[in-house]
Amino acid sequence: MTPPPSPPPDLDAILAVIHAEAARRGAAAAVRLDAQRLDAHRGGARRPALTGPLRHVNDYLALGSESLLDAAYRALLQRPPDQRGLAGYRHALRTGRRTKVEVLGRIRFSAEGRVHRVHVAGLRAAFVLALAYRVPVAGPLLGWLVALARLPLHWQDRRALERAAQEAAAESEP
Amino acid sequence: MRIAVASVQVPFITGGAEILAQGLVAALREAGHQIELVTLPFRFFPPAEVTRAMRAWESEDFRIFNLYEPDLVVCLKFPAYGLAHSRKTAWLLHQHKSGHAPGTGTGTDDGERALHEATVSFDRRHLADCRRFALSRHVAQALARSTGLAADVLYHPPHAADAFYAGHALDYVLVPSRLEDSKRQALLIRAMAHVRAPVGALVAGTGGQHAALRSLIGTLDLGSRVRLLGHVSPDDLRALYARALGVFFGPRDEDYGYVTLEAMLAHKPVITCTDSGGPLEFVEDGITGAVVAPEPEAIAGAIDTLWADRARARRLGENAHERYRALDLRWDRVAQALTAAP
Repeated sequence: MTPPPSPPPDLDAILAVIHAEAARRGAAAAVRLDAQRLDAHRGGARRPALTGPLRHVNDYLALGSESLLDAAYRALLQRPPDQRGLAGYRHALRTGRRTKVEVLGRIRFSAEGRVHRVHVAGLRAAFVLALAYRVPVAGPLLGWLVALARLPLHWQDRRALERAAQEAAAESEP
Repeated sequence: MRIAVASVQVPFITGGAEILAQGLVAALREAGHQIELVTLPFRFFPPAEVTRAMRAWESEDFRIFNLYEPDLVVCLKFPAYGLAHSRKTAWLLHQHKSGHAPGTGTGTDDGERALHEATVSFDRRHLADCRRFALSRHVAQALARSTGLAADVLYHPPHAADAFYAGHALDYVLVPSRLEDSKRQALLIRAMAHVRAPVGALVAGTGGQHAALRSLIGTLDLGSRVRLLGHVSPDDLRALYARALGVFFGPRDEDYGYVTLEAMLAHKPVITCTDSGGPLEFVEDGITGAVVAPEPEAIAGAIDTLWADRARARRLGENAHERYRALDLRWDRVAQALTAAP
């Protein structure tokens, strides 16, 4: 005898989740576009690529975790990700055990990655720094020193963001 | 190069063909060419209007545009390739579909039969003058059957491919498409009456079938299980793809089907039908999705199976994404193929 159908899911609740997620991702996309405008004011030195090949470490860091892993395997190892490796890196990112820079560096500078020798601008320095942060005692101290050294850049970012916001407001006026 | 992209236009209707034309124009410009999209309006009925359109394009001489002569003309749709030019490339989206193509068994109207013969003769005559590409294997096979002409298959990516993403699946099947008879949302709705699992269906899109589908949902008492969403924003649509358990796309005789590729980009398995055409070039039963008979019970069975084994559903979706990546669909490759020297 065929069992009766299970009760349907709460479609209103599902749609609420969908709308909230869409709004959140839409706002994040707007922030990324603001970052592009911000970088334009600062000379575009660290602007992540929105399309085309990924050449700078920031191009990868602008991706979501899944996209970063997929792109890293294909670009740096010249093959699709294998399930075991993908699961390990995915778990490391989701639990916070590894940062995106560390995962990217581990893929690029693995034995397999060194065979292909794909150049990613800025990755070596970022990876070395990320590993240095892990050293007990000295690592956190280094982190503080780097943050202090970056303060002028943050102030510059803030001024550029304020200018960008003023421009955007001016453009939106009828 | 100076390139004219020639196609037809159905005013106030924007569908896959219009999106493709926009993507092609952008890709050709990106490749450094000077592009102009040239269209004439097209009317599907009465048959006399189709005949008039064929004559209109045959009278167009694209070798001379006042002072500007295109080096190449890319023709997208029937009957644009009737124009005159020494270097024509056809990227055929589909031939004219009248009601009396051989094998449709749709009646004995002499006027429709005569129109069908006239359009096939037109295609055979003018496409023979072109380098020929087809939107899909399905379109290429239809061309070969009707005219004996071969065409190279040239796939392209859907719009905003990079914006799709994957997410944790919720208990619904997404059904995105224009609400037209050929897209067969009614088939999916009838299938939902047989679904045993606690799965709903979210139908996204607008079109002429909206009232009929709403009535069908009411007749089958499926109001709590099927929701017509109407028009959805691009952000909402991508979220709907990302969080779906699977995507149903079972049109009748589809030429290509962006929905299939969008689902693959979102790492989701596609349920399609054995007579759906284009989607069958990307959906492999049990590997990247499910291919079932166009019967409500068969479709319901595929939905129940996805829900019952979520791990398998995820694997199918990952396989689908892998398949998309392996296809390496890029607009720059399309531009290169269409503009390559013969």
